[in-house]
Amino acid sequence: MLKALDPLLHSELRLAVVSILIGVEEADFVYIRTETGATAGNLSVQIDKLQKAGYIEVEKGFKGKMPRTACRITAKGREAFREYVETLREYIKM
Amino acid sequence: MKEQQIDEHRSIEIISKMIADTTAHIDSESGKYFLLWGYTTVIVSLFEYFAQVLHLPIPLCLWAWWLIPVVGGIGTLILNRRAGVARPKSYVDRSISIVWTVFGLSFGMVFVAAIVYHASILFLTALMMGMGTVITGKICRHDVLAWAGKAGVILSLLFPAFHLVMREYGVALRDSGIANVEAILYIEIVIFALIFLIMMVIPGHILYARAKQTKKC
Repeated sequence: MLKALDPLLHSELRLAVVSILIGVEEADFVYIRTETGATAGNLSVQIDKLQKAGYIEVEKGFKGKMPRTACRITAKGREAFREYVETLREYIKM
Repeated sequence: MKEQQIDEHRSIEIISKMIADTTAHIDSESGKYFLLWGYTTVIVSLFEYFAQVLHLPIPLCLWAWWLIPVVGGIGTLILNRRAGVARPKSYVDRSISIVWTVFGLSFGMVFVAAIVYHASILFLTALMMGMGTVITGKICRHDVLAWAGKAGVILSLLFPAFHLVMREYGVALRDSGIANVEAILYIEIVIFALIFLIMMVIPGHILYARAKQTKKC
């Protein structure tokens, strides 16, 4: 019996956000928005969901006079992503 | 990209694309830094060579070398600022930044020591920058960069070899009047430019082109 894919990651935008964060130490909100092509509002909502699940950390601050939102993946998020990819492999093998 | 459920194949597509794009972004940035420092060093060195051969006023020639850290330093600040918030910070970035900070500071001390002990600053520069390039290539897992750095380290041995040859045959050459020994001595500067062309400019272009290609895909 195949495991179910993590519903939190099994969505286009949230998966894209976690895929970006998996390879970097941190990424800015603006960078993620540019790469995913999502609207700021939608991206904020999805980032909030990932943050509430403990998959990512969000740090709001300023760089000079400009507001800056930095996102980082957590250990829990990294583990969830690893499991997601493992399960995905099983599905593809079928 | 929207908030919607996807199938397994689309998931793989998204993961691959996002990871490749982010890696390409980081690669294109590192290519730019190598191009900046590489071209600055090659151009200033060639200027120095022609200035020495054409006997331009000596103070001007000596000051021209300072253009490398000044142009490179200002250029690095501009690149950092341009990349700014839009650039994701990777663990690789942090490691490379530490490597070049340590090499930069060590080079400053070596530079002072080279002046005090009258050692060849061209040899030490090529050697240290070659070592830094090898480490950067290994961290980024860019074989081209690692090999270019190794080439830089090996080619830096041309300076002591050149020195030995000139010590052995320099007087004989001058006395025979076959060649202008003074002009031959300045060839060291051309070798220095050539090393930086191989060590930084060529791999910089390759990195940049590869990153652009990945981004297109």
